[in-house]
Amino acid sequence: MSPHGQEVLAQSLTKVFGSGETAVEAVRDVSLSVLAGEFVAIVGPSGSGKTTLLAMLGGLLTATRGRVVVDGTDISGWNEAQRALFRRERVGFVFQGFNLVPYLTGEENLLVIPAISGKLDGEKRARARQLLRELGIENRAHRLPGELSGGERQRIAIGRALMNDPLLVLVDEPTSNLDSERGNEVVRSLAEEVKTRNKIGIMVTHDRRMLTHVDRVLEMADGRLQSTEPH
Amino acid sequence: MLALREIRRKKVQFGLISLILGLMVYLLVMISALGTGLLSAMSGAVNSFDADLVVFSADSNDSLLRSELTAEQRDAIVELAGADSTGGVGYMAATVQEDSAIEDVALFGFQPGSIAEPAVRSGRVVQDEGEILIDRSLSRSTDLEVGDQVTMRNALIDYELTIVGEVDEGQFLGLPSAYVVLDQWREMRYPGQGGGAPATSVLLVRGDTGNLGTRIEADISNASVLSKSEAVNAIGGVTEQERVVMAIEFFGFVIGALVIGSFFFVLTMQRAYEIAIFKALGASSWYIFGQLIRQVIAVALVGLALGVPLALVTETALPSDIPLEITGSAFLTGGVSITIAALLGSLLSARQVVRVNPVSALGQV
Repeated sequence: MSPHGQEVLAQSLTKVFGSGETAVEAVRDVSLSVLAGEFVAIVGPSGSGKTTLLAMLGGLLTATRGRVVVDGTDISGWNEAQRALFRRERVGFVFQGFNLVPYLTGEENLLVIPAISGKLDGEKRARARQLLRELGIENRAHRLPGELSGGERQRIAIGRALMNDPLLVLVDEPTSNLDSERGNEVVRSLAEEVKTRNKIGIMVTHDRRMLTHVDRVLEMADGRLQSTEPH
Repeated sequence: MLALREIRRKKVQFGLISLILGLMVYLLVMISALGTGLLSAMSGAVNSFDADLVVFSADSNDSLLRSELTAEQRDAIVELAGADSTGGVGYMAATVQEDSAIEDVALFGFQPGSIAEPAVRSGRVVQDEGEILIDRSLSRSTDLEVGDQVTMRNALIDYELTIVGEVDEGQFLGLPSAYVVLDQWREMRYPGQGGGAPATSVLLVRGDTGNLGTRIEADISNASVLSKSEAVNAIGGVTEQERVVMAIEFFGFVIGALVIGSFFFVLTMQRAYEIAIFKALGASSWYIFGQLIRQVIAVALVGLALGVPLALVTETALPSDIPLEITGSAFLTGGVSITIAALLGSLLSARQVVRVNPVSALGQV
């Protein structure tokens, strides 16, 4: 753990897809550190490797070289079962396009997290209702995703990401399906949640209008981290 | 929670799968019931024998059609096994005529009060010559009933008999069974032979059978002893029929497993993206496969609830001359095997579940 508190640390991360002549180096020798309470954006053009980097930080992908240390624990060598447990307990994802389960209501989408952990009880149901209340969508909780607006779906996705009280909140292109006003509102609420709850927030985006809400911007191009600019 | 929620919210999709499962259950129950019915039509009357052993004449090659035991053989077996534990059964093919209607029957002779006496379900048991018991299968297919007079003909001699009771012993070689006293049977089977005629076709033996069969075969010449199940299987064609029915059931089971497995395989492929989301959120392949199994069991239960009543309705709707016997084993064959087939079929999806990469929830990386 960092002397400043919990942090996520990437050291010389490299990810190569394929092998031989078809090998593609999606992320090249990236090192970074994000502390709890920080909301950091990773920006860059399509194909720059930012989503791959996010996937490695969240335990969805393993690095070809380098390591990821979360709260003092090196997760680089973990197998899929260990990484699944890590994602279940320590990571909250907000996916591009929300990725809500279409046949579950808003509240049930939040309860997916304790359900897959085998910890679905009254306490978790109360927490889901509380999160929905805090996100201002309690009255829409029993609607299916198809019956909700884009903003409402996004808030459900944020609620789901916070349901397991994770250390890491990883956000992939949160505004890609929203107009700028809604997008702005979503990113602002995400930043607020990260700060209020002392999470480590990392957001991948290509929308530079959303950067007003972040603490730092990391720029990627061709798989490399170009700069770290305090905001 | 997730598995059953999905079924509730995708009623049409899962309803169709349940319907197909129900039809598969129905098909297998009907195949099994027809197999049992066919077997019963061939061997029901023999299967109804209240016996552990059946003694044939050895030169008959264990055929009820050809077996003939002499009075000496019968007496020697009775001496070994005890009078209370034995009963002679005579067999012959005959016709029953009432007015202008003629029906073929499998006619059995027995000694009233012996273990060969069939159970009477209405009327009374035959006591003397001139009386006959008919099987329910005969009364159902004709207008014959207790109290009617019938004519039986053999070797150009007519025998006038009164139906005094009805039994439910089944058929033999596809013919409804009928029962007369042993003396009547001997008179009809061997007309004019008097005391020189064989005493019975076979002798039934009940009770402690430790080494009784071996002793009978050792002590009595030209005697062959079979257990009742062996005697049933010795009826010409029964074993072959059983094999055919078992083969049909097996193919039904395999096809059922493949059909259901294919459904869940396609369903799993369609849900690859949802599975990726669950995995990205931390669900293991085992968890997802467990949810799939729950869905298979739920759908199989609904399928059973559809298929079983459908089979029962069909049984009542079909004409009585179709050999259909829905038994507990028919339901077990249909219901349990389809549930097992569904579970085995769902294993096809297991590999799909494991292969889904959680990172695909992020779209292109």
